[in-house]
Amino acid sequence: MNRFEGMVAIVTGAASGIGQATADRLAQEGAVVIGTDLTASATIRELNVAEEADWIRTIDQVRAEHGRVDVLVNNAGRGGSQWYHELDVEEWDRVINVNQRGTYLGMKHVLSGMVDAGRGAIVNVASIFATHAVAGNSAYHASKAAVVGMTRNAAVSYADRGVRVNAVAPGWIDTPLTALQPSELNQSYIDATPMRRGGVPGEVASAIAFLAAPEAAFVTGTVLHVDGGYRAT
Amino acid sequence: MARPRGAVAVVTGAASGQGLLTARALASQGARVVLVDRDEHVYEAAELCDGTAIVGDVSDPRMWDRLVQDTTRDLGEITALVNNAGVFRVGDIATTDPREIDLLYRVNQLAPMLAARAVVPSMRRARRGSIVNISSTAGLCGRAGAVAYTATKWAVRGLSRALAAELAPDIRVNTVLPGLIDTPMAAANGFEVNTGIVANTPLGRIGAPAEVVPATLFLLSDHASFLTGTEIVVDGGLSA
Repeated sequence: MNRFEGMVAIVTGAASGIGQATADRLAQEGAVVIGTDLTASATIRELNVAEEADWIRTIDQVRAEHGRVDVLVNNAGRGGSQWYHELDVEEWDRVINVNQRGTYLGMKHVLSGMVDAGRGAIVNVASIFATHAVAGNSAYHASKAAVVGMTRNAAVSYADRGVRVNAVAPGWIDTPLTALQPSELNQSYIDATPMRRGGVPGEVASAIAFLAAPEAAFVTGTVLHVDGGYRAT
Repeated sequence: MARPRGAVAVVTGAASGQGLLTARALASQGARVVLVDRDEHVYEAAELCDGTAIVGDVSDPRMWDRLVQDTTRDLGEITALVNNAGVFRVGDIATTDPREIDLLYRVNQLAPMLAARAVVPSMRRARRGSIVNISSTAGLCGRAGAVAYTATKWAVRGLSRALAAELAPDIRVNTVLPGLIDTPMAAANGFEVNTGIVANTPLGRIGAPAEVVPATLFLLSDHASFLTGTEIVVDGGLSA
């Protein structure tokens, strides 16, 4: 498939996991992909999603080089496992800054160009924990619920200007982020997943690619779960 | 989209519109397609897909038993099922004919359950399968003037999720929820109602049947290998 032929896409958090798989998928299908992460490398540009100046610099560069941005995937994310009573404000801010503020800043800085062009697609990466609670994880849950709220609002706000905004809500996915968690915790998520396994990043990338592609022209404001049935039960 | 060789797909309501488009797309990907409809135009539709036509009542369990028997004998195990057939009626609940309520229940709610019941043993033998049930944005809210339809479309979501839980991991079950789509079914709303729905649709237009098909195909495909019990809303933002 070449659904993204001639398109320019930005994927944040593209150095590993879901972001890397998504960048690879979009590139395989013809897109010029600008992958970003906290640390630059041969294929990755440095971008801290929580820093507005980083976004301004990156979008200016991409516009200068490629003229426009057709697709933005706000994937960069940060975990956080603490309960409210033991969560200090600094840790709360770190999680909210990446997951919520980062998503807002990304949308803010691509939307004006997309509105001018009259087209664009944004896919935000939420989580099953946007809608499903497990104990602890307080800031993470809050930030991912915010991602869903922002997705719906942006979809309704920009639909008449040709921009679609959707989210994916991954369940437990085998990534460097989840590998840092205690194995008993990871196993408990897998046990609660009807497919009895974790997902792989490419399976989330497929859903992101569907939502970003022209074939999803009538899909906006929706949240697509990629969770092996976790939410269904 | 990549489909495994030897896919055998059953699509209901396939004589026209969205069902026919789905059947044709599956055929173009190499699937062998069985098209089911009460309308005899399904014979012509099947020719377009180089497929098999079955004229029958999707709410009749004997129809499903025969379909599965014949299909597995002639084509092999069934690996995909799209419960697309649906009926739509509007009206005040107090004056709705009970026979109409029964029709909506049978076609929209009972039929997908009977289809799954009949097809699952074949999918289990194949050790793979993907079922897509077509619900509606009516299954996400409460709509005045379409009480029975709304109830059946909520039921489809429950059916999908319970099936997903029961049939994992080999068989995936997902739901597509179209908003206002330009089909004969939508015309039953009348011009005024549809104008109002379009006005409430952020994308500001009615959807085309061809815009629903990619969601169904994605869910059926191997690219959706970690998606089960989930929903794709194709409604131009109506329910956002």
